[in-house]
Amino acid sequence: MKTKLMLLTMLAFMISASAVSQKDPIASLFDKYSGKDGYTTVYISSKMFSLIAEIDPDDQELQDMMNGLKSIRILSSEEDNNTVNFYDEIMKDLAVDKYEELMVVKDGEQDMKFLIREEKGKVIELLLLSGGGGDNVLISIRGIIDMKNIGKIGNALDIEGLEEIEKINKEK
Amino acid sequence: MDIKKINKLLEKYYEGLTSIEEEEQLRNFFLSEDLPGEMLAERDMFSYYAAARSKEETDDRLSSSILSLIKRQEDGGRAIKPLFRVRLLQLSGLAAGLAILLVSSLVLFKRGPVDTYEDPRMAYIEARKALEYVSVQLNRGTQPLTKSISLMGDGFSPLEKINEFNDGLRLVKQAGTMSEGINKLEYLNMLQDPADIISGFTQKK
Amino acid sequence: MDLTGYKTRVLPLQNKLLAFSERLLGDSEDARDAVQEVFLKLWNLRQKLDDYRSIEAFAMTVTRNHCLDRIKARRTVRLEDKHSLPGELIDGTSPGDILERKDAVANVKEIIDSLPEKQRSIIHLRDIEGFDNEEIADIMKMDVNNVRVVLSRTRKTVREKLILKYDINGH
Repeated sequence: MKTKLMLLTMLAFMISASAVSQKDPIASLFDKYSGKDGYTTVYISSKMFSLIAEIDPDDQELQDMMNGLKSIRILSSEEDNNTVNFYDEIMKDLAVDKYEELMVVKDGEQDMKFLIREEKGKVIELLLLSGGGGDNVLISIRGIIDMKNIGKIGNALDIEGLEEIEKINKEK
Repeated sequence: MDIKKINKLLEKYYEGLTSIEEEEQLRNFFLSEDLPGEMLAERDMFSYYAAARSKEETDDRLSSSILSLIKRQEDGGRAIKPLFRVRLLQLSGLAAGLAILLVSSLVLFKRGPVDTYEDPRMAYIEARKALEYVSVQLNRGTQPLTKSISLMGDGFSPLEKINEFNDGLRLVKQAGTMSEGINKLEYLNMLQDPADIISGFTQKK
Repeated sequence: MDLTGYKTRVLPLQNKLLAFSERLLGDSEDARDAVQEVFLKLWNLRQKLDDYRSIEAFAMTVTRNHCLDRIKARRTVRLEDKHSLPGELIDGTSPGDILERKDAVANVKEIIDSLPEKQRSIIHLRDIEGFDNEEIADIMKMDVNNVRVVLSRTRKTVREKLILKYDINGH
């Protein structure tokens, strides 16, 4: 009995230890900044997505949007935290070789990069890194990602409103 | 009420020294008709304050959605809680010990990421916002691309920024002969919607 | 407190909570969402509600905390908080924007909505909703004397900004 318990204990330790050592680069990147002054991190787990889907099972839009999502991580830095260049800082830490570049947008001061990770022909992670201008943010979306769906979300949104906000920001 | 007294009250008001009752007097005074012209600011202030005060009536739609929210939670809550308790009791000594070990070792080695939100609705708001943001940026990035393709002129330089975006695009750049190039360009012109481009890309792989 | 008590004593606060969260969030849709969540929280805290000196003040505290959390969450993607456009009010009036008498009251709202959160909350709680300074101190987690100081400063600011606005618009 005692030896059995010992074995089980060791097994438990080993399992959890290996789980930690295999941590992926994005997770450790978020860990690095989480709780740091001037940075805000958000994590939404797959468990939470299943709870979200339960909010309103009849809401087709909600179901579509949440369908297949595994996690969302957001790391952002406050705007007056201009001592480091967020974009460069993150690019330095990011294991880019795991990702493929989808798109790079340079808009004035603002650098923006879309990266994706694929597995078996499906996009399983989308990364958006933006910095230098107004927005300092890194967003990681994991799961089975339908890019078409993501493109649509914005069309439903009042984009004009967003542009107004941007104008105001620039004038400041 | 005479102006002298009002001015005294106002002085106290600006120092934050008036009582609620005295402020009521001021409010009543400034809401009445005959006002001296130089007290415009006070009149506007107190009229707004009086008008903005919340009334004690309830809005049936809001009330009922609050009550149904409560009901849903209560119904859900009852189903989950007792089950949890029974499970815990059923765990045998060994299993419980193992569970404790597992938990403590997890704590020791620390920690999968913790959900930022406990409330799914808050998480939903946040997730939605992130998706919308990504979507808007994605569309913004692809917009100049589609525009420049239809213009055909110097529209290729933005294309170069997109690495391995589409094998077809690379072919366009390398195309030595016009006919080949035009063929590919026609293909590109069919892609009106930026989202189409991307989904075409994902499906292709 | 049971459901009946909740219905008669908590639900009727909805306009107050709604107005306060709209003041904090600057958006009525958002405020409505927030308030529903606040009411759910209050329901979950119903056993404790009677321990508080004033349920109303406590409900306002919960509302404020919840709204501030929301603003914080909002900032992560920085869909800009409408309130944080400093200066825009005073010098941003477009030419030819001549004020009508009836807009005058709207001026006050605009000015208050442009104040920093603490000032905005305090003036809302005191001059609009009529809470006393002790209650406000509870809600804002501030010292009573401090509440008075901020209140005084805010009242003066509102007046100055109003007068400045009249001057610009040729009154």
